[in-house]
Amino acid sequence: MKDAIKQWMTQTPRVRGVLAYGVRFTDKTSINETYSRDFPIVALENTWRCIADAYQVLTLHRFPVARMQWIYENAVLTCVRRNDGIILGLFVTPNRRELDSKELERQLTEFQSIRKSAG
Amino acid sequence: MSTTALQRRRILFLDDDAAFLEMIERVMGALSNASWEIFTAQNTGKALATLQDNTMNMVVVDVQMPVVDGLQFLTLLNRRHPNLLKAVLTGFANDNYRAACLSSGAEMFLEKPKTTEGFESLFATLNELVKWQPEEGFRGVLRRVGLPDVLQMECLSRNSSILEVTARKATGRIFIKDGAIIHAVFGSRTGEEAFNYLLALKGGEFKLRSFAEPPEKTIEGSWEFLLMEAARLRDEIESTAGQELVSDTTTVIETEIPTVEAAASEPASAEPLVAEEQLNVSIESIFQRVSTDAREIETAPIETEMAPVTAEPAVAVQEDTPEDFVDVEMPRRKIDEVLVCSSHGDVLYEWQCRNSDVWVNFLEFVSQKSRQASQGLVLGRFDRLEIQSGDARMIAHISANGGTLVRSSAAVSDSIETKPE
Repeated sequence: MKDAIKQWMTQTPRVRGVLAYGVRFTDKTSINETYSRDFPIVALENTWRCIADAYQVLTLHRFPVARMQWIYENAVLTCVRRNDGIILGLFVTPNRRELDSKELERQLTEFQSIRKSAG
Repeated sequence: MSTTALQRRRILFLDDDAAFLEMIERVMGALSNASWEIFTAQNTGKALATLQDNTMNMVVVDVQMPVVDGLQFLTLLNRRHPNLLKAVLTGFANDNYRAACLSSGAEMFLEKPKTTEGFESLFATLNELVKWQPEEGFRGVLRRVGLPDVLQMECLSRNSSILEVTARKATGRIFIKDGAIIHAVFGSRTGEEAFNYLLALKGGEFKLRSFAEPPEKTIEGSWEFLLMEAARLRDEIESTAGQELVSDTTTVIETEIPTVEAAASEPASAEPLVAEEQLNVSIESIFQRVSTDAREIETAPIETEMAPVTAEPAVAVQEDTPEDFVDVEMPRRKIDEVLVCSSHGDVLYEWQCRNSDVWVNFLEFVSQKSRQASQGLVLGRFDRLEIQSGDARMIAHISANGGTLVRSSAAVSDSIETKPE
């Protein structure tokens, strides 16, 4: 599954308004891409760990969650989790006019549908 | 370069295994190269006393201890010492337990190592965590620690101690000997009357002191019964209009029950509620986000696992044209639960909450995680968490004044909607 997602990440165009993103796998490794010095990779890895914790706690509260948005003053952190537990997190601009929401939504939907490559 | 006392991090390890504590002190002390000052405690009572007498940077807890519920102790720590970093170190690790510990306020959940490399990795992880400093603001800070919680801990641990309770300028004491509550005094009151009065106080501070024999033994009976009875009386007080209590002996207890604020600037009048206007603004703004969510056309509809929604935005949900079609794939929403709490975690307003404690804990968790997630990033102030799960939505809004949680779901339509041609 990792390979399929890596391939998806390399093939998927950058969305206007996305500042950084990453995928955290269930083995706690992650692949990250940043477009801004304000989002260093080391910090992103810490963020994904926190997001994984949040998903776990929500499940504990019997509120199994697919999507979360953490709204900060300077950025919005959008997270989706696949059924297999792999999480995609994206930091996007808080200014909606600067964000291609439609394309973002398409990619989020696509991420959740990625299947293992045959063979 | 020598490590000065000021730069040393103070770490408290709590574990019922004396041999493990001895080893951890030796190993972590060596690995830290004297940059850590390590304290140990073999039971919760000693841990609380150590925390009271020393400013710690972090506490590392083995939650699997006999007698005391480790998760309950974590919650207690979270409330009593909100600025204290907490890590769980356990030999019993699974996902559910991990989630429960995180939900109870632990910043990190770690498994006890068995190898040299494991201890080195443990040290590196804890050393990174201890460098992190919590910011000011609503930390989910948490309800004031329950005096009943601490009493329960002391009794369960079969400790001997004195709980000194101070509210305004008055001080009372509860004496615990070998886990039994044997005496209480507050002003001219003694025995169960003093005990119930102290537990009915809505604020104040308390400290754990070393045990000394009281002048007399005025309380008998099990601590469980005493706590239950005190809780019952407290509930009666809170449900009485005007917060006046007239006891059987016609002793009038102050109607202005002091609040708990550590800052002296807080008025000493009755527990302040959020101003109605402030409350209404807070709830209204959250309602607006929830109720307009389904009508937003700037973002694509929510993806659900059970009811797939098309990527096309809703055709029309316009308030000024109510006759227009309402897209059946954009369900109307109903509010299921609302909770508003203060920055101390006191519930100020709740509506249809099945368990307000759970939601206050959740707001605390969101506050904590939002800070952790932003470490090393310039994200600015955190405002809220929006969650989507199937038809359900939840918003958890955090501010310096407190937290608001609204949960909604799709409303069952009671009218037939038709598409325009």
